[in-house]
Amino acid sequence: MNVSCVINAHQEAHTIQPTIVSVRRAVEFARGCGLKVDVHAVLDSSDSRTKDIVYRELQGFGQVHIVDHGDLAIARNHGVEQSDADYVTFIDGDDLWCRRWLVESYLMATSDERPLVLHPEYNIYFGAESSHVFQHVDMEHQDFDPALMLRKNYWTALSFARREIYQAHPYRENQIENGFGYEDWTWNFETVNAGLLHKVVPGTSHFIRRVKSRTSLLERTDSMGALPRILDLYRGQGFAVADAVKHAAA
Amino acid sequence: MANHPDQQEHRIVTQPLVGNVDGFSAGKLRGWVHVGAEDDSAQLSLLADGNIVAKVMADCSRPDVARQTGARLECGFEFDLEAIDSPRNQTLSVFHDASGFDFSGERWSYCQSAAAAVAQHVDSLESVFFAEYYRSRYGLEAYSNEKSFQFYVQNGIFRGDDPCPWFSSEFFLEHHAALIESGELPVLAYLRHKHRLDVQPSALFDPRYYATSNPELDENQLLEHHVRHGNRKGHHTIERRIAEPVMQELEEMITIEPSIGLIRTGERSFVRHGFPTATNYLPQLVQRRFGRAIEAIVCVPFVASGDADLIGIHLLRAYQNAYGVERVLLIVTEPSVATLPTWLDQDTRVLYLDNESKFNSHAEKIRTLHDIVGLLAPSRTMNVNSLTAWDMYRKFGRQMMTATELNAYVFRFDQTVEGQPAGYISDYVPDLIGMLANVYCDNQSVIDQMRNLYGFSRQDMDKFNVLYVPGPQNLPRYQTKVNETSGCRKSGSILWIGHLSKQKRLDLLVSIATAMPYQQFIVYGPAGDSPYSDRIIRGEYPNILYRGVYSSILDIDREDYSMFLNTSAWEGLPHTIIQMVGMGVPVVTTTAGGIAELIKEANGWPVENSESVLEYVAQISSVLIQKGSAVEKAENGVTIFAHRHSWQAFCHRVDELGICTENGPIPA
Repeated sequence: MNVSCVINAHQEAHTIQPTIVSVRRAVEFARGCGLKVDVHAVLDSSDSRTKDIVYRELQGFGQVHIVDHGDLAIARNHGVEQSDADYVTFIDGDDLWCRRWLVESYLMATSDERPLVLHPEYNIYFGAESSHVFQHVDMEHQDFDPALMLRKNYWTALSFARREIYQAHPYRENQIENGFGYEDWTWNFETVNAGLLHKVVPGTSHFIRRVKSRTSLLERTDSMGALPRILDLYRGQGFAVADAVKHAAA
Repeated sequence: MANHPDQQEHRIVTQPLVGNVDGFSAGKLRGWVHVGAEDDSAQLSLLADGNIVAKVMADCSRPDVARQTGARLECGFEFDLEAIDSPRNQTLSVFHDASGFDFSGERWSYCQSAAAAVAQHVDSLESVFFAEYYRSRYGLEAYSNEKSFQFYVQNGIFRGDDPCPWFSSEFFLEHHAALIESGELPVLAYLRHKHRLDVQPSALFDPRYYATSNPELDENQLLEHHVRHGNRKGHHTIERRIAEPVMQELEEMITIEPSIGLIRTGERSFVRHGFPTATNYLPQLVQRRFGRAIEAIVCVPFVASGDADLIGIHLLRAYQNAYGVERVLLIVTEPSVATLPTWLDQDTRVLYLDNESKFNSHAEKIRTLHDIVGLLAPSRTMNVNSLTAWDMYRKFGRQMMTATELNAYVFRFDQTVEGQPAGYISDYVPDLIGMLANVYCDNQSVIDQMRNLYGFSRQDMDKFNVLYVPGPQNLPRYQTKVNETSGCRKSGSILWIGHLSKQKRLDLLVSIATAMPYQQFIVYGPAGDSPYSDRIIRGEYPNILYRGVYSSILDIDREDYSMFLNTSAWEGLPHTIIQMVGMGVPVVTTTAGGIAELIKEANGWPVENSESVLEYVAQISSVLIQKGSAVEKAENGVTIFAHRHSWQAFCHRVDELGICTENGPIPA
């Protein structure tokens, strides 16, 4: 298997349907180009409506995994463990992919021997008054500066990389009540420090929904004053990475 | 210049001399070298592109560059670069002829003609210079912003360094070579043409786009504006568009999710992370400078000159003794002009936050301090009166306490005009006690006050401990002057020291002085908010003489005084009183705050009813009349000082409290 698509869902209800449509579209395009692609939907603490829709839309098309971690980071790790493909890519349960995401990412990843983490060039935020376009920065571009990583998260979590990269660097569990969140920011920082190269796939885009269900985790993270675990002070303490892997394998 | 016939193969010695080339200044290359034994030659050679162009003798008598460090004499030298007549860049190096010492292999780029142009355009260069970026990019983490700019104009500019992210010498050479005159530096060529909107300084800055996006700006100052203001405000510097294939796919996506269509017509902003702001660079610069081995950090608002705030320096020294000088860092969080005490180790690690960068807000400083502490990752942090550190505890303490021991030293309650408790204790301790590991105080009285006022649990009260402030070591002893005829203490002046503030009750001082017109009262201290402050300074009271501010208690001739008087309404344990007791000076004082822990009838003259002028007069008179008692009390005071406020007593107490032992962070 070349690529596994991991859909991370919670309680998106009907908003997951366009997600699955966009995933299907991208998968069919990729398969049409000769790629072997499978789909795994990880439903974490999901409600009946979301389950109903996912089972219906993925019937004959992908696998559904029901888990109860209550944490997006652990759910992503779970998705990695379900895959046996060379590459894994993520999408959240109410976002959308562009059609060529899988193909362009695969081509870029396989044409470069270096350990890469790939991101779409554009993140198009929709569904709220503050719709905007967030353009990712390639680490090899001259306006990338690692000093900014302490203050800004350069990339979203919806990445594409070799499966062993996600296995070697599992996402850390959020502990928002204890003041730690932003699992994607933490992951980006750790992988950069580990020598991985985050690059942008030109001409690709993700569409990210900005409505209440989507922002509840982000809102909660912000309102609780949570921090990513990117400072040295916090990276040697707290939730052990081994525990995150254990959760993912359960 | 051709190879000099004397030119030899310069060997690198295994035990090199010590020396440094400080840089260029006024057409000269200056530095110093330690020549070792007296008979060693001090001759140095300057090479340009490997050819000897000048020789000089290091001159120990040079007053402008010579300096002494301990027992060493460093010899200054300078090479006159006017002699290097070449229109092109050359690589300079310096060697000590006798030993071959090559100043650690350092090389400097220099172009004589360009140097003059640089000197003429220093102001323009500074306006496009982003110091923190430059220090980060070129490994100058130990340099101040000012020094990094000096380095840039004296050295870096000649090797093609970029002064900011939005100017690229390489880009300019590639795209605008025709604009560069012979021998001209690219950045100077750009500055000559910066009014032209079609001349891009780099791929990251489009003057035409920037001018269009910011029509209110002077088109001659676009890059300058972005360096100074635009970057911090998040201004875009080049036009960003969504690629056409993506725009085309947008139409398809709308059929899948119609609400995507809103972004076509609604106001849409394009976000792309730009460069860090100035203070964003600080945490990593600090980490690169001090490394990852810092075990303890002490935060103070400023470097104290001699009062109780010196406790921060004393705690620093205690940590240094425990962990080693190189593993402890003092962070000074507010602008400070004082220098560290000379008795501190000369390798003491200090970070003056306001010298590192300009903070645009208190919130920015709090965040930066947190990031600095976060990257250094000490096992313990001690805050001694720093507002920024208190706010860091408040905002990030929940997270910090999981990884580092948070400690604080507090002194006393302040009071509002209505007489209510105020200050750092009331503002922070009740809210943050749950995340603090230890709270140290300079007196027991304030601990008792907090217990009574806040009703902390036993678990939280166990965190409070008294740690007395040590006084200066080797204090001189005060000698009582006695009238040989009457046996009474000679009527020297009465010494009063403190801020001329309402807290210090200058009204009482004036009343006492009025009641004792035959006594002279000498006042030291800065002006304050007392209504009597200006009147005392102006000398409106015949027997109150104002002497201004002293730099050290030792500057005051104690022999001139018969006693020390304190009239404070509220206090912790004033360091001045500690010093007076340590010197054996009779002390007449209120018993406010922690003073009663030090001054008792056995060693001083406490005034129980601080509103009673008569009681002050009685105690003052007792000092003057009762010679024997005064001597005995003074000796008692010196004994107490040695027991509680000597450096040895402080170290013993630090050990007793386990301040420097490995207790580890509070579990989450």
